Amino acid sequence: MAKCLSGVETAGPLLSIPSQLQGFGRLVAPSHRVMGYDTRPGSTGTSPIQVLLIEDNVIDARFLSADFQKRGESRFSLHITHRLDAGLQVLRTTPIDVILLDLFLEEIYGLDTLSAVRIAFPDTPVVVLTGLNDEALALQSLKHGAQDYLLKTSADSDRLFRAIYYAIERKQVELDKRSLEERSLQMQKLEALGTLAGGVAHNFNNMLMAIMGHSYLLTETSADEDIQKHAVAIKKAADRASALTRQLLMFSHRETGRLVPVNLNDILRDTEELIRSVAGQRSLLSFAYAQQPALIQADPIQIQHMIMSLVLNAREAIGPAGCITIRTEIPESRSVRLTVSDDGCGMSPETRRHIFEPFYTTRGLAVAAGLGLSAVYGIVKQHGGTIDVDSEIGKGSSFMVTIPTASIARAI
Amino acid sequence: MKSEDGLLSRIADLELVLGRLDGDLELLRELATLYIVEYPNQVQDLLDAVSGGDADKIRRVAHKIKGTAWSFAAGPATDAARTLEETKDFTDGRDASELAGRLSQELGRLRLALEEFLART
Repeated sequence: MAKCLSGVETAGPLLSIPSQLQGFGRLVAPSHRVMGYDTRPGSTGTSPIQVLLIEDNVIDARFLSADFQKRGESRFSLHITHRLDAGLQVLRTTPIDVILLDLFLEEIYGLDTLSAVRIAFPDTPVVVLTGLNDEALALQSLKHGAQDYLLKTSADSDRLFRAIYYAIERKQVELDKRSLEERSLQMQKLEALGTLAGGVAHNFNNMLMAIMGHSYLLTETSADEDIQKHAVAIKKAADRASALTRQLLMFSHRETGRLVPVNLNDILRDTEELIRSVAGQRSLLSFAYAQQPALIQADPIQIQHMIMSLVLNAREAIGPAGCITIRTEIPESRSVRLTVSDDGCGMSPETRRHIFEPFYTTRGLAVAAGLGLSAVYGIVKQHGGTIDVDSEIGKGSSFMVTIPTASIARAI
Repeated sequence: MKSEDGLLSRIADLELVLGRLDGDLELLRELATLYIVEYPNQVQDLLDAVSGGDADKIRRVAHKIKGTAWSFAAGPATDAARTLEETKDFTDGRDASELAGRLSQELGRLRLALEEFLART
């Protein structure tokens, strides 16, 4: 029966546990987040699954906790609240893996209960617990985002535990799918932007060539000092514009260089001094090289440009002082990885979604063109690689570029 | 505990409950105690709902009581709670009072049965 589950009862200090329940079971404050648990039924993974039971009926709650105690062994940590607001408070303070939710609470009723939980914590799987004759409502709850439902009257502990495992697994699949879809959409958007930017930059570059050529001719042919001065200013502005269009072309993969077999370690060593000057004197810069040659098929100039842009980005992130680490690795024989990490301000998920878009900058377009990372993206794509970003506000960021090894790249 | 235990077996099939609890008599005693503590609250909630004339609240309280009664395999109390919960129309206030009165009576019997069980075990 679902009302009677075994395992360990746990409660953090903020938990609202019905007074009648206190003293039953072992109350343990969870102290760590569950990561990478084994979701196979019967798993003996080291981290218990954090289960939150929101059930206002103290007797039902006791039946359930008894089952957790008797049959759950050390697989679960059970937190119990009898009110929704107390449950939401637990969710805010404790890394809960799955919620067992009674839909009929004193202060809220039916699908509203589920909606309240789903709105506040959309990524936490919910198993709805329902009483007699509630199957229609239970089915509706699946349509409203619950992973599963259990009729208290018919579920035994095995069924309950299985529901918990499957709910977590299903939610994970759902989250992975959503993440893949978001990523795919983002890539499509970047590709479309690349096509547009590349077309504009190509035509713009042709016009710039004419401007640069004519301003050069003016400086060479005119004896008028004023004209000379203006022509030089035009040429300088055109040079800057040309540099920008080159970055746009890089982003759109149109800036093609000659790809040759190179050792990424050598490129880094050759440019170490330059990197140090870009990183600035107040940055603590460290290099960690793969022991084996990191051979890739690449345009060394573009790779240097990519590294410089990543280091420049890291320098901006750390502000007045901080650490930047550049690392090369060979995670598998088919690829080489370059990671540029910093312990700077980090990025919000929203910023992370946009960083590779051209002209996206957090510093304002007057300060930065917003093309550095989009050029990096283009260079990586042009080399058949991928770029991933890990970032946390206040803790820093890591940009991980993976490029196929030379032999693989030749075959692509 | 035997099924022919007069009063008890007619009100709640605790042998069945014990089976659900893997024969854990101590746990059943604990749950029975919990019910006895909770009983006045349930009855009070029921009376409040009926005197307030709030049909929705009456059904909610009945729903909750039904779950508890089922947990103790208390057939008559479960049935009384279900009837109250499933009543569509409380326009005649007396109906709600009558049904709630019957449920309250069954809950009282359940409490007595559980007290008897605690005394015997």
